[in-house]
Amino acid sequence: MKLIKSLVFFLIIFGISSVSNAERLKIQVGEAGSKKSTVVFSKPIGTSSINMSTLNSTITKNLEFSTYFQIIKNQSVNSSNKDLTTEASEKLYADGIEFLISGSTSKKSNNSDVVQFKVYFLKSFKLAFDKVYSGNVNNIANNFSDDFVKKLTGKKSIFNTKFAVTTDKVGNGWKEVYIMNWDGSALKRKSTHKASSLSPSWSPGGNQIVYSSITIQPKSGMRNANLYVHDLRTSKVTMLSSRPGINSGGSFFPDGKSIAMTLTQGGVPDIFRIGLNGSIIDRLTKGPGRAMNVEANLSPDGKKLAFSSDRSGRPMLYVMDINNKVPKRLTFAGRYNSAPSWSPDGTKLAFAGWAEGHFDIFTINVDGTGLKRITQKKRSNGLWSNNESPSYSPDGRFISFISNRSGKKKLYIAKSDGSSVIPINQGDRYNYYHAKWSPFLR
Amino acid sequence: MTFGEESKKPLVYSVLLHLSILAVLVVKPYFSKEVKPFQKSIKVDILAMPEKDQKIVPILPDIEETVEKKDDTKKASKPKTTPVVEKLKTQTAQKEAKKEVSKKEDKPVEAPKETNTEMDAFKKLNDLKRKEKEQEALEALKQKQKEIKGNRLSKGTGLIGVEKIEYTNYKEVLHAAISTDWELPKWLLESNLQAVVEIKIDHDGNLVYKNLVQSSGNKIYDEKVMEAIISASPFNPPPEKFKSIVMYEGVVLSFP
Repeated sequence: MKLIKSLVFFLIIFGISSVSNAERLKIQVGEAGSKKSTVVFSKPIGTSSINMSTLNSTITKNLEFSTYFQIIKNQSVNSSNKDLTTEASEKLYADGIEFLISGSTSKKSNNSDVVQFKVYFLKSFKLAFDKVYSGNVNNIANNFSDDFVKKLTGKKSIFNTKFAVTTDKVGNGWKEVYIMNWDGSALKRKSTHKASSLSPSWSPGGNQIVYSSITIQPKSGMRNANLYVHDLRTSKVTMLSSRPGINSGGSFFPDGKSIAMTLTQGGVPDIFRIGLNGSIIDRLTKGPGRAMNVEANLSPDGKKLAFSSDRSGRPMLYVMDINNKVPKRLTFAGRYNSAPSWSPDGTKLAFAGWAEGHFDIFTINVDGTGLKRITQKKRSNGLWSNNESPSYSPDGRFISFISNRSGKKKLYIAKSDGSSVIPINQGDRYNYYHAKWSPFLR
Repeated sequence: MTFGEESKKPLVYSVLLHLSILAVLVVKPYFSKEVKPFQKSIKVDILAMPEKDQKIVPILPDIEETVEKKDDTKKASKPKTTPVVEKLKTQTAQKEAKKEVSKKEDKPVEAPKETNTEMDAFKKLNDLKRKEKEQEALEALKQKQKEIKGNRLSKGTGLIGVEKIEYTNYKEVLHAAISTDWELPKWLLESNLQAVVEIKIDHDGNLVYKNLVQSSGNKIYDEKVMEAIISASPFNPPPEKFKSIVMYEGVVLSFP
């Protein structure tokens, strides 16, 4: 009884003291509105073999793609080798310009061409950025764009990333693996199997690509979906797994020393972990029964595995802890869900879902909440287009996907909420498949 | 288990449940980020002025002095009290013991030699009791004087009714004014930066003080925060009841 009395007394005193402190008015202002920053280029100065006009237009395309900037193109700003004066800065700022990019070319002592870029933050009349670049126009433009955005946001941008993709460019119904810049430029062939290749995927450092190709199995002499690793530094191609049946869907572990992939051991596809010498390290899925487990995709930290499985009757997505190997069903909606792709922070997955007779790209939180459709587009014939093979950009701001909305299967990039869709590689007549965004490469 | 114990059980559970609820309500504010506006205000009853013929008892300082003097007396006499009482108790016990012995021996009893001392002790005890009663009376008088109309402090009350509505409305007015001008360049929007600013607003709604309490660590973000506040000012004049609060206590703005 004494204890209860003491408790009541304590609570009363405590309660009184807790309400006796008067507080100030507190306001949570909330999310800010946003606007694009205005940028203008000064007239390039200097003479060299570098085409400044092409360089500036590539930078313009990059900066506009970032969605951060609005390039003012009609503004004519003269340049000089001297730093911007306060008066000139004030005048430009008064005209609504926030950043001035000034490029000048020159030759180094070894006769190589260089470009010096200065960026002025006009509001505070300060030189925000000053760096010298060399190389080809594309590299200079991408490196400068990357540096400029990083200077402002503190984060790396996608301007130096690439895509691994398969395309039918070589004809004969073959699909070979290619590498291209994020904007579709510099398309380079990486496989020469004269076969159908599929599911290319990057190693964590971006030096290797693992993919499958339906090539002749050495022992049987029969065509088989074999797994290859292509080292981009040495151009060496290694057949990593050629076991009878499917050898596909490779996904690197974060240490780059092993790969999760699908094998048909016993006639049913399951996911295994194999070393770079091709040996099996671990079996990650088994059944249940004769259920298929395919399309392995490891989370960025390598602790979780997303895959698709028909164990529930229809192909749905599952997420499994690598250690306890207990899968948890992630998707329940739609008739067919496939091709999971992790966001770089490991909180979301993008996937292709079959609904209303066509594929669309969806995103979902890793806990199964927040399912959202981010694509839905009709073709010119009035039918819904198919949108497949999603892949998050390494900064998590964008998602790429393959769509037949324009007729051919082409690569598109959208913001991760599905807005601001930009077509890539519209200028050619080829189809593109299985595009996978690289990690940061610079 | 008896019926009595069973019937007590619900009572014990009820007490424990209520205590738990009370504890949760008391502890919750310390873990909650939610701001409790104006947790306590003091209401002074100045509307009820003293009545015309009301007698005003002696002013407080005299009473204070009297009380102090009485306290001194009390303090002075107190050390003596305990030994006397103890002595009395001892003597009474001895007396009782002697009575028992005399009964057994059946002999005439002589008056004890210490009778005078006992009487003195009783007198002192009575004096002490009287002084304590006087002091209690003075305390009651002091309390009574405090509680006459026009001179009474009542307990603070929470913000309710119209005050609460006015408070919420003004908060919304400030929020709307600032958020209208709260704009960031797109490249800062995804940066997850945060800043806190303290402002003070005078009776006419003018911004008279602003201080960056917590910087975002990004100079441009901090500048944009300050720009939003400056562009939003002057604000609407605060309601009468909150003028001193927004002027002296200030307003804390958290961005975003």
